[in-house]
Amino acid sequence: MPRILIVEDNPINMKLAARLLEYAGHEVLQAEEATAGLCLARERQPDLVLMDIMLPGMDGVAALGELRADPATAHLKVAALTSYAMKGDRERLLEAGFDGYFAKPIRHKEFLAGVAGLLAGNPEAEQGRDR
Amino acid sequence: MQATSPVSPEQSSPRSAARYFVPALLLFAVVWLMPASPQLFAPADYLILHNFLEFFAIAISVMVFAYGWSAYGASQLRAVTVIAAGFLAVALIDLAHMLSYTGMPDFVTASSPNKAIHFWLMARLVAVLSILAVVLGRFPQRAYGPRSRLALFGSALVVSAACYYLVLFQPQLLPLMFVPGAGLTPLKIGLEYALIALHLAAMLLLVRRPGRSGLPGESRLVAALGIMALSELCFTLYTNVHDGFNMLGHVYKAVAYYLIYRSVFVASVRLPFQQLKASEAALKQSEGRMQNTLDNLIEGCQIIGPDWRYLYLNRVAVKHARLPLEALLGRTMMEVFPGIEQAAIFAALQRCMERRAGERVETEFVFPDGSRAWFDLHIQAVPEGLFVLSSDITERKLSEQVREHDMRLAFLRADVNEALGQGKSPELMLRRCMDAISNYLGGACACVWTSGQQALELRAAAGDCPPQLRDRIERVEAGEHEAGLVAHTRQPAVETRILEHSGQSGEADAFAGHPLLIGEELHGVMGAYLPAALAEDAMEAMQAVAAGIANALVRCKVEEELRALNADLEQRVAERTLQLEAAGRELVHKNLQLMTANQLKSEFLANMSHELRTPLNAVIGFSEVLRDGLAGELNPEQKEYVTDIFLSGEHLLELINDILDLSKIETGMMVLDPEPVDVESLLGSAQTIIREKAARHAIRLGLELAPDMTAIEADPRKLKQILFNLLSNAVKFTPDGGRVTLGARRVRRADIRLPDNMPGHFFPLAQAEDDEFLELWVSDTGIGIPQSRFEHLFQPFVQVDSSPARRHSGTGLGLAMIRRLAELHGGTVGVSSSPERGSRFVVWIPYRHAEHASPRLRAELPSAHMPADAVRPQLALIVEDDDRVADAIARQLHKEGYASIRAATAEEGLVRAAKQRPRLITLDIFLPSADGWEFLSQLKANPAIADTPVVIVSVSSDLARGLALGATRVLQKPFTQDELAHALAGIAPRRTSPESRTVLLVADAQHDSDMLATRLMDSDIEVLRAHTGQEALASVRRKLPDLIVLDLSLPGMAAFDLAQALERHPETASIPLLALTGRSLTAAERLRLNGSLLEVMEKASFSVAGFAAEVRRALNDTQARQEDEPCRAS
Repeated sequence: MPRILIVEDNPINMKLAARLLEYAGHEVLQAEEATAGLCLARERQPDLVLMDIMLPGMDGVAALGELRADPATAHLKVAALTSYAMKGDRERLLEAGFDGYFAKPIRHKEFLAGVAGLLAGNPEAEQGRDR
Repeated sequence: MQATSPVSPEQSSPRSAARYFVPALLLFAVVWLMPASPQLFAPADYLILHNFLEFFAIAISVMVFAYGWSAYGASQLRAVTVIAAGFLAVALIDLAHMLSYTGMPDFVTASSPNKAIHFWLMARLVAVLSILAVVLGRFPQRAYGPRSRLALFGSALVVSAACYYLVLFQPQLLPLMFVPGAGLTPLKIGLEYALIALHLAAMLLLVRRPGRSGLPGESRLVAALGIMALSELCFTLYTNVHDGFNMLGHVYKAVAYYLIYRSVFVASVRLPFQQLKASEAALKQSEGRMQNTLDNLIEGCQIIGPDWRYLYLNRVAVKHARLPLEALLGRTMMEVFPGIEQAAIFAALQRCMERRAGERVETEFVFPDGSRAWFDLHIQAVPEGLFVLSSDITERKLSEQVREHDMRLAFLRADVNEALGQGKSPELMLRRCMDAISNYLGGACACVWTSGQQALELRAAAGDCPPQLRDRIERVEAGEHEAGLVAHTRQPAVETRILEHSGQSGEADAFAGHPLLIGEELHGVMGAYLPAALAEDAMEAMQAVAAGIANALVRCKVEEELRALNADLEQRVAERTLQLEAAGRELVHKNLQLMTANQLKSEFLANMSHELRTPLNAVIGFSEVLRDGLAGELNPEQKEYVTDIFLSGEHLLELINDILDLSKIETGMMVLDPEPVDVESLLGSAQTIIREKAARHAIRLGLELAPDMTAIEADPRKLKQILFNLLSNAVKFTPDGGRVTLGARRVRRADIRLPDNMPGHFFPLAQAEDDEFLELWVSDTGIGIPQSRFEHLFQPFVQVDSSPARRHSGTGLGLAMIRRLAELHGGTVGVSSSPERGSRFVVWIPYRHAEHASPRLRAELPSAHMPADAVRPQLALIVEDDDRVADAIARQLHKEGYASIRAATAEEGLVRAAKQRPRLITLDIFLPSADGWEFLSQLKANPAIADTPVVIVSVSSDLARGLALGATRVLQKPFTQDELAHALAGIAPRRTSPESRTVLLVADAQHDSDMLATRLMDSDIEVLRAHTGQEALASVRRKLPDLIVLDLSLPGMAAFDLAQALERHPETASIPLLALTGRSLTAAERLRLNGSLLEVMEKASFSVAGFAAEVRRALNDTQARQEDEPCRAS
């Protein structure tokens, strides 16, 4: 059963993402801030990390840098799950090193299909309409 | 002797000689063979004939002589002269022969055969000897001198005279040639043989060494010799002077002489004439070439006679003279250019004319109208007078002059600047400036005066100032002299002949002066004395110097005053300076703040987007989860509320996006991303989006596309946004059953206006270079807009009905956005409306032709435009009662390669379908008696035509019903070509592939499976069956089915495992699944099947007929999707 770590500070949005992933049969790990997320990622080695960008303290892009810097987590797949959905945001984040990109608000079909794609190793799987 | 004259066209050759000789020989043979022919004529008759033939020969001999005598120039060959002399003698002797012939009256002595024969032999001898002389003599090809000619012709006369004397007066000295009764004596015959031998010898010599005679047309001479030999032979053979051989001999003689005459004629008349003509033509040609060359020279070229008349001018020379050719040719230079004698150009011409020499001059020429030009002339004396080559070098000269002047000007500026900048003493400064001006003016006398109390005071002078000017320079009273005048008028002035009235004149006869002015205040005068008035540009340069000097003078004054100011003032100045600096710094700071404000604004927008999306995520996400039953089934009321929340969330998101877009436009952050856009597909896709909503309200959608649309360069997303906003507005504000029409056409800038039939308003177009515009309009039959609202309509958050209980939802941003997007493209918008008749919104976008059609757009059009079997048009049946619609469909089908037949009613349609077996049927639903549904059912009931694909074309979009009844496609009217193409693309493979489609039925309960399979087997579907997941996988591996029908009630999780197993392999993942289930599915179950699940049919609401229709529809969809797939991937 694939294991997915969500790093998201908004508890309601965390709940939404977690439920959807659970419906799809994934094991979900949750972290409300980046440092806790880094810790979980190191110890539990999730198949995919979904990372909010606007986080208290360390933001999502910095957290991605930490993950990539640590040999224990450098190989993990990390996708951005963010409300940054203006034109150019997607390109900016993918360029920063994220493997995928999901714009909030998410739609369950697209979201789960995107997650499945990322888990299947399809590098182009990403979703989100940018504005 | 050389070979024949090289220009001779008549080469002598044995063959051409044979042309004459062989017939003669044949004639001889004929006469020889005639058995009893000797006596041809009566003696009396014969005499006349003989005289005639002889006379003919004499005449020819005389002509030979005449040509030889009068031959002219090069044709006066020695050979001709010799033959001519010989034939003079021949003519005279033959005349005697003729007169002495038997039967003729007495010629001095009585006529007798012997007398005639003596003359005859002598004449023959002279003739053959003269020819032999030519053949053996190898005369050079040139003429005799007049004396030799006279001597030759004289000796011919002497020979003739000798013959006359011998025969007439000393006949006893000559041997007997004819004995009456006995015939010819052996001597006579022997002599004839000797003559034959001489002729043949001459002939053989010529045949062996052609060209020996030096005569053109020698072959005639050869033939003549041969024929003469024959003639002599005849004269040895006759027994009676009246017989055939005698006559033949005379004929031969006449012919031979004629040939000799021809050869002399050719040599002395025809050839020279031809040569003359040829050389004339050659001369003409070379003259023409020469003329042509001169005419096309890039230099002017003219020939001037000794009397100064123009004899020749080529085109360029005429251009140089600036007069028409007629005004020049034949006229003297003085007539054409009066006063030219004074010009330098004429002096040069005169020198060359007098010394008969050449010269090259560069000179300026003043035309009568006063214009000037520089010419580079090559003059050369020639026999006709002067040959002059001219080039217009005015431009070069001018640029040289300009360059030179520029250089002097640059020096002047540099010198003056340096002088003004040295800032030590004003005296030194002024001196140096005057030096500079003097240098600039080539050493002229330059002076500067400053204003004193009463007079101008000379401050500095430079250059060559003649002594006679001294008293005019050193002190100038106000208003006196030139400088005083300048000071008085305060205007730059040019004076000439300033010294004339004083009786003195010299080098410096002109004055150019400038006042030294600062504003209205005069500080002095600057001037220069020159040999002649200054050109304008020099005056300007001096003016600039004067201004500089005036400034410097003031500065010197100010500096002095400044020095006089006390330290306190200095300090105050310093304080003020500090204040100013502080103010400046503040300004810079404010500027920076302004710059960051814009950045802050965009950051704010980004943050707002982020902050609003975060809560919306939960609102939309959770309400969607609830609505889709992922968290358990809801009762209908709950489902309704949850849907409301979801839709409100969507609306809010739309609002946010619109606000962000608008703000982006307002802050200039929105940029267009232009690419080629196909207008027709753009309109089609915009309409497609709105179609469902329109159908819900029974609103008819119309499309009016002008035919001349091509691809344009624009931002397709923004255009789509514009059209979508307009269309959804129109649909929103149109009551049910109304009509919304989308149109596009091309208009010129000048034609941008609204229709006149309704009040309207549009925003003026910004000035730009675009002249052609794409006009997109959407008209509706809606509630209309009051005129007073027109202007506010396109402002943000304005709806016509702004009451709180407004009926129509909308962000109120749509029209504002449309306007901004249109303006961003360089276009504008307009509206016209009346409350009863609805509204018409118009958008104008610059029509910029796309460089090439978008590959993406082209890829979207499937290959249906070129059907695989397009060679033979396929037959389509159009069942439609409206003629115009039928025509339109027929046209569109034609483009897809179909020929069409037509039926106006369902009944007629069924008859035609059965009879003509069309490959495709398009069906309207609303038909006069029996409707489209009825038609469809009856069609499917007839097995022969049940398989014919049916495309429902209707304003109704009851998709499900149409498909359930077995229609292949449903198209909503009106449809675009692309939509039709897509619809037909789904049909095409079915037409072309004979393979039936395969459905894999995976079901556990045996009886269910049987029933379903039986039902499906009625149609052309191959049904494969499997009872477990394992069997199903094995079957799929053997053959990929087009569709899998999966009963979810397989034991355990078999159905779900199977679905996941299929999804793992790319080739099986795309097979659509049709799930059958007896119960509602859980969210998790739905998600597990989500990948390729097409439809879930619940057995509770299950009918066998419905199942078959669903399977058929699923198959058709699959096929269509497979065709779309490659396009989407591209």
